[in-house]
Amino acid sequence: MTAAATHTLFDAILKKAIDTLGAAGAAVYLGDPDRPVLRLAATLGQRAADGAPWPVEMAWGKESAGGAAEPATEVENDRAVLTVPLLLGEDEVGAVIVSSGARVFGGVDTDDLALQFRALARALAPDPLTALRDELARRIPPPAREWLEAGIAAAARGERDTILTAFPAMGRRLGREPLGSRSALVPRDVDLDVPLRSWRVDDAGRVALLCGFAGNAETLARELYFTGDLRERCGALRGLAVLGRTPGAIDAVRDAVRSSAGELFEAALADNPYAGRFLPDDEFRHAVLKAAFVGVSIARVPGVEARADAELSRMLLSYVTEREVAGRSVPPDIWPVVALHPTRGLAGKLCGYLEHPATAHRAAAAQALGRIGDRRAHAFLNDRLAREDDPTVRRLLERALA
Amino acid sequence: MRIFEPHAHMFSRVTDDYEQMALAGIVGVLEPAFWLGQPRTSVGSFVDYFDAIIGWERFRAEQFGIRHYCTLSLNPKEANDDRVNDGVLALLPRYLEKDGVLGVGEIGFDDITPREERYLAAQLELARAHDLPALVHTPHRDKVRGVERTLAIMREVKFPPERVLIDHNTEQTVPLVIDSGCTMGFSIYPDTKMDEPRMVEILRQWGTDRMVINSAADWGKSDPLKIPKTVNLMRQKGMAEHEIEKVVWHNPVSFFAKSGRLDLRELDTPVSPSQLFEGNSILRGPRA
Repeated sequence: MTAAATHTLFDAILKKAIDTLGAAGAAVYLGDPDRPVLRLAATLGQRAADGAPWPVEMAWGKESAGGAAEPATEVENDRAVLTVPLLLGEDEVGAVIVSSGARVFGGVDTDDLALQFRALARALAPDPLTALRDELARRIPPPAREWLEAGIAAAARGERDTILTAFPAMGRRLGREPLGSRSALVPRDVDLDVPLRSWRVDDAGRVALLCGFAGNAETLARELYFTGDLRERCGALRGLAVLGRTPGAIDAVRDAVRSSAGELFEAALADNPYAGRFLPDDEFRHAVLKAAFVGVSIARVPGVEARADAELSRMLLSYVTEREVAGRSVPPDIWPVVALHPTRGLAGKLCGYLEHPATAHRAAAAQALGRIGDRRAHAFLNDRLAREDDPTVRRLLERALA
Repeated sequence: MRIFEPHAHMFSRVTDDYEQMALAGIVGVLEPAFWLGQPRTSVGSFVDYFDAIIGWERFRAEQFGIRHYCTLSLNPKEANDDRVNDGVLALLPRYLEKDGVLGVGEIGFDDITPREERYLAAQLELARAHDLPALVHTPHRDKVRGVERTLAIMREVKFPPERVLIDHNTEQTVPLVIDSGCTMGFSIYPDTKMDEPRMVEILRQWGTDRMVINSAADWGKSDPLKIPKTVNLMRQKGMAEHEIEKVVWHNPVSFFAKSGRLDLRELDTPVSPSQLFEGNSILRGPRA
């Protein structure tokens, strides 16, 4: 992206933030890759009534204790400053800092803003091959990196055979440990992201080869799937997540979704926009149900909300009933999805889950009740809000009541 | 004591076996490719079999905390079958590059026919080309002659003996193999092959250098716990702990490490049946 385009983007984001929150000013800060500081990237409006300038650099404690970063409000002197993280995947790449002047932000819905900021983070992200190289540079020793670079160079020359030989050897050359990244890959040509959270080091290497391939990477990935062992297949599926553009390779996804090998199923469906986009409706529904069945969070299936329908709700709730009859636990991420097409009695059931000991259940139930919008639930939502300590659940309860 | 089982056909075993093996201290298993009990009629069957060994079977073993490796080959019996022999040989180059394939095997003799000789030699060449050691099956009938022919062919093609494991040895074959430089495998198997008391006697007589034991557990009446049972007897008979560990861990591990594909650090790390990282709650079935 050009510097001019970047600045236009920043201005738009800052204006949106200021307008939404009725703020005095806002600034975008981006994380420095080498030091734990945030650097000022763009500003709009005033930081404070006294006209003090925005600091050029700020200290940055990047480590959030598990889970996605939360927007944080601090009050300094008489000023309220709201910090909303810029997230790429679950990785904080920066923050937008909004200054209220004398006003205090209270009960503000920053969720929509957070989504906008995610779009900004995606726009700023490097191309997938660069991102993968960066991730791997942190994880693999120089000889392995050299071997991979030679492979990527061969891929760039269109040498299919080199890739076919390199694929089985990737695990031995690079290792198979978890990549340990919370970030996401953003393709150049479509606005979607592919979270890296479940990727292993060899997945990253295999997808790097596919990203570097001068020919049709989707077709190659499909071929590598059908001649691959389990790890190669996962790599091919993750390659399709980033590079798949036509339904041409969907039979690979179909094959993997039928598998009982958990890791293969997960690579096909979870965090995989290719599957989310190209699996036909009926197969998609069954895949989502299977995800719930094998313990993969359905929230990780891209498109699950956009493609949810009454039939999917029926199937998922039928599964819930089966679990409850057997006295077994139910995955909470089902609630917000079935709430999009609620069945009779769902609101009542969810009111019960507002009192569940697990935070995840209470949060999911609150979010789901917000979507259903049944006013009869308000009494219970208010009742829970009065006693709820968890900030995430509180926010969702407040939203459901709004 | 950690145990490496260097020869078990887990394809033909149930999950109870894995559970028992894990409890008995077996942390790694090597599954050689072999025949299925009745003839395969097409190369496609071998494709599915090889895929199952490196795919489903490896996954199944890991559910019980056991690391699974394999050797792949055209087995001696089906080397005689023209419907499949050349076809399988053509498949092997692709499969011998896969992760977890630590050797070419089982190869060798079944009835000691000319075809079997040809495919034994051809697969030693494949092993050489892919830099893998060889796991050699010795026939259950006319075993001494089979061992002699095997060693002769190995020397003819100049395949290095330290990269060969001659398996299913008995008291009669040990003298032939002991000075060859090859590793010697013994299958502790009920009713046929070797048993625990004779095995301990052989070790006492010939020492523990390059000796490995296995259960060769398969479709037949066999017992995947034969190694731990032999360990018990070795202890009872007063064998030193480090000698026992040599036979059931160091020898088999170092032999298959010659493939360059056995990550010793990985072998030292327990494999967790449920995967290890964030956002991934993999289970084989519904959570209880």
